[in-house]
This record gives sequence, C-alpha cells and structure tokens, in this order.
Amino acid sequence: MKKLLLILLIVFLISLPLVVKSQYILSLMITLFIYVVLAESWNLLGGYTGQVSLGHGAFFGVGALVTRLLWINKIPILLSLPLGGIGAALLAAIVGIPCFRMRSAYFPIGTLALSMIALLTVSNVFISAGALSPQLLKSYEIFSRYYLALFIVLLSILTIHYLVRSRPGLAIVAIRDNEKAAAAIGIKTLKYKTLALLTSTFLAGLAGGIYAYQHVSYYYDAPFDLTWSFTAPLTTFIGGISTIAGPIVGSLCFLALSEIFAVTLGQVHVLIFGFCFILIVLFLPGGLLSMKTETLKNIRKRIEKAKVDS
Amino acid sequence: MDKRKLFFRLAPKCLISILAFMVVLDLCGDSLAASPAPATIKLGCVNALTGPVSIGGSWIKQGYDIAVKHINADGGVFVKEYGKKIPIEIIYQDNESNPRKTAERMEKLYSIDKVNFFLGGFAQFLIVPQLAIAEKYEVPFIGTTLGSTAEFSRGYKYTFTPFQAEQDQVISFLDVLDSIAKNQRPQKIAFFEVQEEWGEATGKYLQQFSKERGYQMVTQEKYAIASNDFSSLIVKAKGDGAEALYTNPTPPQGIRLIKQMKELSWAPKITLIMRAADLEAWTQNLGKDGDYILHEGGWDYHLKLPGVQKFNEDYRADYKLNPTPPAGTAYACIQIFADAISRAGTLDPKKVRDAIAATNMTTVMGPMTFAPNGRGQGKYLRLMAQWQKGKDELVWPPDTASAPLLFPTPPWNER
Repeated sequence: MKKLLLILLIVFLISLPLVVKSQYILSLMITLFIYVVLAESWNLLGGYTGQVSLGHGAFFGVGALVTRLLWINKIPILLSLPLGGIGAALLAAIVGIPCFRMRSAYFPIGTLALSMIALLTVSNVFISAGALSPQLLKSYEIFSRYYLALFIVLLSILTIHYLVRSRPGLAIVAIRDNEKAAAAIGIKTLKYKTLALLTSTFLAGLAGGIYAYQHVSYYYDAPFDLTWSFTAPLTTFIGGISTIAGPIVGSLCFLALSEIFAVTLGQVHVLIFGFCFILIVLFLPGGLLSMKTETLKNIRKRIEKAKVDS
Repeated sequence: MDKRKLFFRLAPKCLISILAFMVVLDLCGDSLAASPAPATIKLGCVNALTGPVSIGGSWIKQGYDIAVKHINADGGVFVKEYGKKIPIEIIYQDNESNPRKTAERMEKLYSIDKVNFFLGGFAQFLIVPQLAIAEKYEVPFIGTTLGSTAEFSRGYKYTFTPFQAEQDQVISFLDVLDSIAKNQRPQKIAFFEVQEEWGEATGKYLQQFSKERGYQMVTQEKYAIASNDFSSLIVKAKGDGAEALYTNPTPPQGIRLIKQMKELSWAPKITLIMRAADLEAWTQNLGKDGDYILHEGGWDYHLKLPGVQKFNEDYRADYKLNPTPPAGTAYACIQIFADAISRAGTLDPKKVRDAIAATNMTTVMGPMTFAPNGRGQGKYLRLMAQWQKGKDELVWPPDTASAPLLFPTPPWNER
C-alpha cells in the first residue's frame, strides 16, 4: 500500500507542471523541495546519528555559492550542482570533523558558530547582489528547475532510505543510541559519524545549489542566513525525527503555515509558527507522524482511567 | 470494507482533487487577466510592512496611497485602448524587511494577483532582488529609494527610478562645501563607511570627486551595519584633523554616533548624516544636539514645485507629520506610471515600458526624464537639508532653499 501511495505521489509530482502553469505555484513547489532535501539531510545527521547540527545553513550556503558562481560563469548546471554539494562536504571535512571532538551541547554550539562565521564572511566579501544577466534571464524557465529539484528530492530520500537500512546505517543508529557502547562492540564511531556528516552536508549543498539555480537575484549571504540552520531541525521535529516521511510532512506544514500567514499577517507568522512548534513538542514529541499512535495511546489511557474510577 | 480497499478507492481521488484544485487556482488567475476592460490598473508592490525597516516601508506606502487617492479622485487614468478612465489599485505584499522574501512575494504578485506593473518598496537592499524578477517577466518596475549605480549597469530594460544616484548624493555634499567662503571652507573630509553596497559605492565616489575638487579625504573607516561603537572612528578622524564628516548609518546608529561625538568632544565644521537624520525622530531623540546636521533623501517637502503643496496638505491631514523624502519619491513614481499609461494608451507592458523611457513631465520632484539605463534625470535631485533649532530646513540648492546654511557647527561647549 505504501509503495502504491509513493508511486501515485511521484506521478502526481511529475505531472504537476503539465497542468499547472503558474510560476508562483511551481516556484513554491521548488521551495518545498529545497526544505525537504535540507530537512532530510539534517535528519540523517541529527536524527539517525544523534549529532544535532545548528550549522546546516553554512553547508546549504556553500552549496548555493559554489553552484551559483560556477553556473553564472557558464559551467553547466548538471556539473555545477554536484560541485556545490562537494564544496559543502569539503567544508564539513575541514571544519565539521574536528567538531566531532566536542561532546554534548558543544557540538551544536560549535556548528552554530561555524554558521555565523560563514554568514559574516560571505556578507563582507560579497557585498553586491548576485543577479542574473539579461541574457540568462531571457533563457530562464521554471520547468527544468522543477524537475531538477524533484530529482534531487528523490535522490536524497533514496540515499537516506538505503543508507539507514545498510550495515553502516545500523552502525550510525547504534552510535546515536549509545556511542560508548557502540565503540565497545567494535564500531569505528568516528568513521561512521564522518560518513553521515559528509553524506548529510553533500545533500545540504545540493539543496543550496537548487536555491542558487531557482532564484534570479539574491544577495550571496541570503542562503547563509541563520534561519536555514534552524528551519532544518524545526521541520524535522514537526514532522517526526528519525523517519523518512517526517521531514517531508514537516516541510509541507512549515511552507503552508509560512505562506498562508506570512502573506496576510507579515512577521506575525513567526509567532504562530513558534506557538505551533511548542504545542507539537509538548503534545506530540514524535512529531505529526506520531499523531495517530499518540491519540490512540491517550484514548486507551482515558478508557483505562475511567474503568479504574468506576 | 477493509482498509486496503478503502485506500485504493480514496488515494487516487484525493490526488486528482488536489491536482484539480491547483488547476482551478491556476485558471482563476488567467480568467482575470483575460478580462477585456479591467476594473482597476493593478500595481504590485513588495514593501517592508513589518520588520526592522517597516518605518521606511510605511513612508513609501503613505506616498503611494496619497498619489493613488489623488489620481482616482479624477476617475483614474485614461486608457485609450478601453476608451475610459480606469482607477489605480495597489496590491501590497509584505517582505518582512527580508530580502529573501522579496523575490517570493514578487512571484505571487505576478502569477496569482496578475498585477500589470511593479512598484518598488523601501530600502535599496530590499529593492535590488526585485529588479531581476521584473526583467524576467518583462514588466515595468519603478523603484523609490534606489541609489545604486551598479544595478543600473546590468543592462536591464524594465527598471526605472526617479531617485537620486549615489553620485548625486556625493556631488550635492561637495557643492555645499564649494559654496562656503574659501577661507572658512573645510578641506579635510572624514568618511565613515557602513559595510553595505551603498556605503562602499559612496566611499568610492567621495574619494574620486573630492580629489577632483581639491579636497583631502583624510579618514575612511568602515563599520558594520549592526555596530554600536564609533569611538575608535571618531578618535581617528579627530586625530587626522578632519573638518567635515560624511556617513550613512541606520537611524539608531546615527543617534549613537552623535552622542559619542559629543562625549568625545568632536564637532566637525560640517556633518552630513544620510538616512538616519531623515527621520522626524532625529530631533526628538537628540534635541539641540541634532542641530546643524545635514541630510538628504532625494526629495524635500519645502520644494516649491507643482503638486507639492497639495501633497503636503493631504499628507499632514492623514498622518499628522511632514512628508518624508521617500514619501515624496513614492508619490512621483505613481505620477510617472499614470502619465506613461495614459501616453501609451494601453496596459501592454512593453508599450508602457517604452512610454516610461520617453517620460518628460513635471512631478513633485520637478521636471523628470529618464536616461537610457532607467535612471531619473531631474533638476532637483541634488538637495541638502539641515536641522536648525529642531526644524528641518532645505538649504540647497539656493533657488528653492527655505533657510540659509548654518555654518560652521559650533563646538559642543558653545551651544
């Protein structure tokens, strides 16, 4: 049943641009795909490996920066995009791996510092906006961007799906559950954490590359904005951490909420989103995906309590 | 019925319903656009209605709204193609003072709201990402506070602004210096450069033009857009013997800068504070310490030009304030659109674009034409105002000045 639903969903997404011509809707769908890839990439590191990163904005930004600079200098997008991902993974290899030496809360703080340093550096080095030339604008069309983004979404979901079900995936989950115990039974923890980090940041870089390919004009520091670092864990927690579907559901809710409320209420939508997030953390700690089981559990509890009372 | 059968029946229906809903949403927009005589001419504006620079966004909105009120009071703009006057409607979208949101909202205005043309919002860093969108869709865009020269060198055909360029700002400052008697004229200039595109460009032009006119730029120091401490810059300028100061801080920074200048007892003979000193709050916050400070925003309510008095009266009646410079520029943008649509006789974006390029009219900013790159060529773009005894006075150019320039600025202990 799940497979059929998945096939139907993919057919729906592939056929969407054939019937919907609105640039806005297709553009929103690409934004959704970016959120999904970024959240899935964060989920691999934060959810499955237990390494909570607050620096995914930096990897996303590097992916966007490398892709954009290569692409506007006439390197084909199909080459620029993976190079953007490699750029992000390279940054992770240089800076992220030493961060693994940090324990408990220091890892998130270290990655957050990385994100802030990257933002400050880029905003001071690239002061002007990176707008496309009139020639590139003339050849701009949304469909190729939509399908490329869809392909990256499928690629990231399949990669994570197979990775977490493989032997290295089991090692990664074991590290999350108890790193010392995993090391005691012979798992090379640094090796598998590095594998998760590089895969995760490569995917975050690809998401950044899609951002760079989608937008006709933006300041180079926009993809380095700290909101990207927070959006990824937020959407994952909302949907359901350590699940493949969680980041998809979370991203969909995040986009829907921010679009519906932002258009009508401006910045108030941040408050509304924050309030929803608190409610989910309090009442659905497993995310929206756990709603069914949590509700059933609560009903059972009440029935049992009623029985005891009577 | 078992769960599997129920799923097989419902899942395709749900997906088809979603697809159909999106198609309907898509077609709704198309059917509106296909209407032969639109009820209104839709101008789409992505503006900072919330967020840190929303105060500036409100000035722009006020200017636009009064201009639309004035034009619609006469029935709107005559469009020959439809043989009647059509009122103007502005559809606002909030970018939350975030440049990242600006482009997304522009897409919505074009695809969903089906606007005919684009208007700019407040703040250059929020306007810049809008330009490529207008160019992509080939829809004319008239922006307000867009001083950037770099953006007008990209070769875009659909971007226009009646606003002063970065060079105009520097030139008017040097013109004011030139007007001072030679034996009293400040020769040594200090420039405190805010680290953004505008600050960098201003520094470049000030360096170039001041050298050409025989001035010496003795200090050029940078500060971050979020910086609160200017003491090291002040000490450096004081040590360099700077007699004039030029800077473009944000409003809170401008106020802190003056307070720190007073604490460190540095009073250059003349000080130009762009952006921060444009606000009425300047004198409310600083009192007499805010006096003698020069500022320029590309327009001034003291200008004795056609339409300015009516605009001032309505603005004061509606908002209980004197119109700010961005509000005046915003008013002129609507005048230019109305004139161009009327001359084009159609709402066809390409024809209206050509009509804007051929503009030759008098706005509240004075006579206005456009250079081939879309930059406004006005007679009154190089202005200079000064805070005098808590009042904002226009001191440059002399033919429209409301008061003479107060010079030199006395030392802090003599005020």
